[in-house]
Amino acid sequence: MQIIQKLIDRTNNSLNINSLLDNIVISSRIRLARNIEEIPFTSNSNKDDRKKIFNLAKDIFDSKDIIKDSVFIDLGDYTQIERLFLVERHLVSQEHSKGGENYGVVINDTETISIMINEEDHFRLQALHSGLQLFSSWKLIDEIDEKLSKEVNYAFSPLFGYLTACPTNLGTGMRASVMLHLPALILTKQINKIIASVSKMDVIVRGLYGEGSKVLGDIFQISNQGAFGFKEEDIVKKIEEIAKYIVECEKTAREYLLKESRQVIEDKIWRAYGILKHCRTISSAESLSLISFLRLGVDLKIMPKSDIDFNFLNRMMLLIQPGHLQNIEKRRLDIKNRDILRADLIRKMLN
Amino acid sequence: MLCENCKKKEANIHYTEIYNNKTREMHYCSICAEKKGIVNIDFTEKQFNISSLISGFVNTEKILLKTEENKKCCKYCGLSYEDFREIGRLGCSGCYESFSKELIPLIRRIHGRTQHIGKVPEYKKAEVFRRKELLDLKRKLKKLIVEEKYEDAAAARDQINLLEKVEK
Repeated sequence: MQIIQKLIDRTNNSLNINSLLDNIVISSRIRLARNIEEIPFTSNSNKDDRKKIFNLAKDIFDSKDIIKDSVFIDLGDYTQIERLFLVERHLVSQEHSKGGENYGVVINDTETISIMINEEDHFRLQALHSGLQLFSSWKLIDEIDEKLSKEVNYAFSPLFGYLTACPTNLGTGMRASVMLHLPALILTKQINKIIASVSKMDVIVRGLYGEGSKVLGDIFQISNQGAFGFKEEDIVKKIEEIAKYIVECEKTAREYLLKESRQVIEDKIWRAYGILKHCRTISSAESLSLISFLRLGVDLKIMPKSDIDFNFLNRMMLLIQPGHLQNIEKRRLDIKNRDILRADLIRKMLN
Repeated sequence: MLCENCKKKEANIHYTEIYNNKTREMHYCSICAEKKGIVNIDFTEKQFNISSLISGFVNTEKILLKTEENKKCCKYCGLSYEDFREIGRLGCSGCYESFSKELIPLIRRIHGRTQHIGKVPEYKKAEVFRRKELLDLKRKLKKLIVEEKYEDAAAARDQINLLEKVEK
């Protein structure tokens, strides 16, 4: 598909990830769950209902100027590998990528917006920015939500707020989340304490791909648990505050590592670099954990190589994932071949 | 004082009615008061007493199993409450109305809140505004009754009736 190629090119060329704030916060995201009145929720809907939602969305997004420079994607036209690619870009959820007929997604050129059609809720609106920019994400998605609400009647009750398929999403239908890179908190064994303390504040801690996913490359996702009975701005503020607090903890842990065990940490970083530079076959889990050390090395100024910066490492983190590898190769690859090609790609990037 | 209706039980609901500028005091026991439909003197949002709230936290599941509520179906999409409990997803937005009795305690348990205060879609703004006005009036009415300003209370009540008519 043309769009996938465009996205790959974008990764190779610019991708202005991470210019704001610290590199500890990788990205910020806001999603809103919305449903249309009088049509059953997706899990309880039949083919006609889903078609109705799909066509309604297609009409609106094709004809009205709701999202600038966007495309409407019918996931039915996409192969499994292409869908996996979209999951790795955080444009489509894992669940949604498995959908059959009438499952769609609208994405814009800069990949800051994605609207999933017929996910668990009829519409799942999402805004994604690099760094800690939750308020920008909120403003962006709020604007689109406002425009969309003039085209359709959302299922809404004055008491319950926006009505969602799962009562846990009820109310604002909002989830605000930040992705954090926390290697020093793991190395200093402080991470469980931090997770326990923020969990008390109705916050969920997850792995790289959200719900049910493992922690890979020392990356954690932090998001609000409930979104009912609160103002949207207050939820955003709360998650932003918690993110800032964790960033401070991570910074302290990094300073501590440098001061107390400089050789150990330098050794770990250079070994990671050595393996990545010379490996002949490598899994994505291993590469993500090694790249995590390089990120740490860049931040602590242990890696003096000027061509390795956060932008470069962010790009590498994307390209080594299974969906990306297979789309670059334009064919299905088994695990063994993926690991070989991944090693090739990393070596090429580092030499 | 005995209940003026059944004349058997102790009267524990004391009710002052103002109608056409005439004031009448009534004293009922809670059972008779309920029969007469005047139990809901407290016009603010329905009050839950603390003990039932706490037992609700612990026993909701058991209570639901005991009663036949599991068999209850949504009048819009037909999903049964049992199905909802099994899959954890409601069938349609109408389910929130059909199962409101069962869902309110559940939602309270999940979120610890009972009222949405976030954004409102354009086409619902008038309704939400009216609802808020109604709640404010009911709160005001309660306060006026406590202060025994019955004439002002009667005026507030008439306003409430008017707004409620619009709602219907």
